Amino acid sequence: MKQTQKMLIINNLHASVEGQEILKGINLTVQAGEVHAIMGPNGSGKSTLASILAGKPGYTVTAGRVDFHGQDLLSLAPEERAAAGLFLAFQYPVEIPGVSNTNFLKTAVNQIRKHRGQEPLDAVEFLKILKEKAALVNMDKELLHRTLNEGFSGGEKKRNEILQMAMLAPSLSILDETDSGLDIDALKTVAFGVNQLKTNDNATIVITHYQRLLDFIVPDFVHVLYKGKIVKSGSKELAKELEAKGYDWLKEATA
Amino acid sequence: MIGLKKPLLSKLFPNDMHTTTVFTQLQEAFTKHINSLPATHGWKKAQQEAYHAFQQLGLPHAKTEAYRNTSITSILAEKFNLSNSPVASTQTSPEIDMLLQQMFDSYSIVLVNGVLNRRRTPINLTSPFQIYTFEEAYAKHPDWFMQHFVQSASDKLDVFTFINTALFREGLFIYIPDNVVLDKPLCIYNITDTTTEQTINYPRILIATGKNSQLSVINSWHTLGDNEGFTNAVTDIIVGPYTQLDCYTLQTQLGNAYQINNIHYYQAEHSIVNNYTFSWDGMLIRNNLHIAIQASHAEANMYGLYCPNNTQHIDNHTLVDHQQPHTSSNELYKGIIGGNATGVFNGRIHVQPEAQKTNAFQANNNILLSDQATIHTKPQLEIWADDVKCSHGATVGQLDESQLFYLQSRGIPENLAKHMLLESFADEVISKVNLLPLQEYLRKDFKEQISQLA
Repeated sequence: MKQTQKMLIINNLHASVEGQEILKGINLTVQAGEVHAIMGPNGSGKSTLASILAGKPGYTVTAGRVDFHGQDLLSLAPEERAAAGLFLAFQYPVEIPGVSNTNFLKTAVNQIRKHRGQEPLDAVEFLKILKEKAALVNMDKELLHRTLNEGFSGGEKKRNEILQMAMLAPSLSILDETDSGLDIDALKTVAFGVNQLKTNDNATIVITHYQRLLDFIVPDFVHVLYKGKIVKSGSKELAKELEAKGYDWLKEATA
Repeated sequence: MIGLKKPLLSKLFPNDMHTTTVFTQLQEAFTKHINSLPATHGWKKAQQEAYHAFQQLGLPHAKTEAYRNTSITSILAEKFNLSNSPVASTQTSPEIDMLLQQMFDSYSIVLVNGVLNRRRTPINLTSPFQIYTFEEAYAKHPDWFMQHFVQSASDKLDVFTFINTALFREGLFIYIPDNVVLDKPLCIYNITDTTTEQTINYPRILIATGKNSQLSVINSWHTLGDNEGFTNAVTDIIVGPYTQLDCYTLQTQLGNAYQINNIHYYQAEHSIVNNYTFSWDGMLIRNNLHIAIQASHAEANMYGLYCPNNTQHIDNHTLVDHQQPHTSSNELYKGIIGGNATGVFNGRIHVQPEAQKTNAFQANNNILLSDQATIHTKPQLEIWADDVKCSHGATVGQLDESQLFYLQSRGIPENLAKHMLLESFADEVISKVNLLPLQEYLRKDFKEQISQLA
């Protein structure tokens, strides 16, 4: 494999929140075309890892580095990371009253285009793409005109995240517990959307607690995060093993 | 009371000396003014009475509760000589014409330094309403005019209303008869012309409506020139039965102005008032809004948006007085405070013993954009009836970090994301505006204001 296809390289990442160390040396490499699943018990640092990669304030990186398309990811502002092709589907998408969903999407798409030196989409082009992508996640038209995530059900919020992902066409998508709070039908819709967006040029990191989502978004690699470290990596079979045995055997193995 | 960080201005100034200075200056101004009036002057007595009331009340000082956070007397003493008479404007300024062009289709009425400018007020006898100076109204229909004037001048609330009543030179009386639905808004351009020198003026407006009418009034305040202007204005609005009146106060082009704006409503049965206040320009603004709901089944809605920056000071004191049963009021004021600026909100709701079945709601939400910005917010509910529904809420906070991060994570730069959040915060008020062209104007102007803020 050529060096350039290594999209994301996380090297010995240590991070803390309010003085407490959460990540204790993460190493992970993601290449184009791959799907990685990160699993682990509550409090193992899964969401912290996602937040740090997206640039959420409040975390202190104490050691290590992250390269994304050859750039020092951690030195970029969140909007620059998005422009560079990183996307985080939030575990708890934020409600923003007063900002219309459509206007928000248009602003986001055009800001990313601007950052990449592309012309902004005009209203007609934008709406055409929006219509197409909304169909992909079975998104009700009415939700596009509502204000951003306000009063959306849990499933609608998650579908809206995948719609944003479709509109922004990132190279690396991180899905943070996208399955939480979804019933099986909503889960299938979301997974269908994610699978449709998958190409040989992009990659996905699926963070999840349960194996259930991985029946629909099939990973190439499964990593187990425990106490801020990746303690085991394997194929998709590892997820099944975890589902059957729980996490306790791993806790004992690493104790 | 939520007070943050900054010491009270009044502590920084030797207040007693200032009070004496301003008091003496106003005394001089009044003596000059009252001696210049002919004895037959219809409201000379009212002006004298108001002056005596002012003398008894005195000017606000450090311990005056209503002006605790706005040390108006000290500021007046330092900036102005109130013994000066209002300056007559040159009235030929092309800037005034430019100003009139920028707004939208309306019946325009132009007051320059409190005096009606006939040339720029193209209202004729075929207009669906009547406008007079107080002199004209008194000469034509003395009893009819005085009946309205006395009702409004009897207000015993704020010392600056008395000062205006004692000192105003020329009032403007607008009368809307019964059963009139105005096809376009009435736009009153209140211009303070400071081109040649510092200007002090006391605009006085009386609006009376008949039964079953509907109209919008825009009260747009402007300053021309770079000198400082002090305006102490009173607008009395008598709203007839079954009439709906929307009134917009625009304090968005005040420049170097210091303004005390007193608006009083007197509502008859089944009337609806929607009052709007948009304030983001000027050095100092104090709004005293007083709505007296004097009859049953009347409704008052009060909306405000204030956005001071730098060292601006914007103070909204509102009072809605429910005097009769089955009335309702709803109040929403929102503020964004940047730089070293100060915002003050004081919302009083009175429910009189007769006013059973009152519904009153009040909310005041604020965003502070800097560590030096200050907001004082205080609800005051005084309820003497027992079968009422009243609630209030005040919030003070910063821009929501998680919302900001969410927008940024989608590629929207921090600054633009902040503006989007501030615009959406303000839009809850702006979207309540019933005139769509005015909504657009306000959105655009507000956008410019916040682009300087954050």
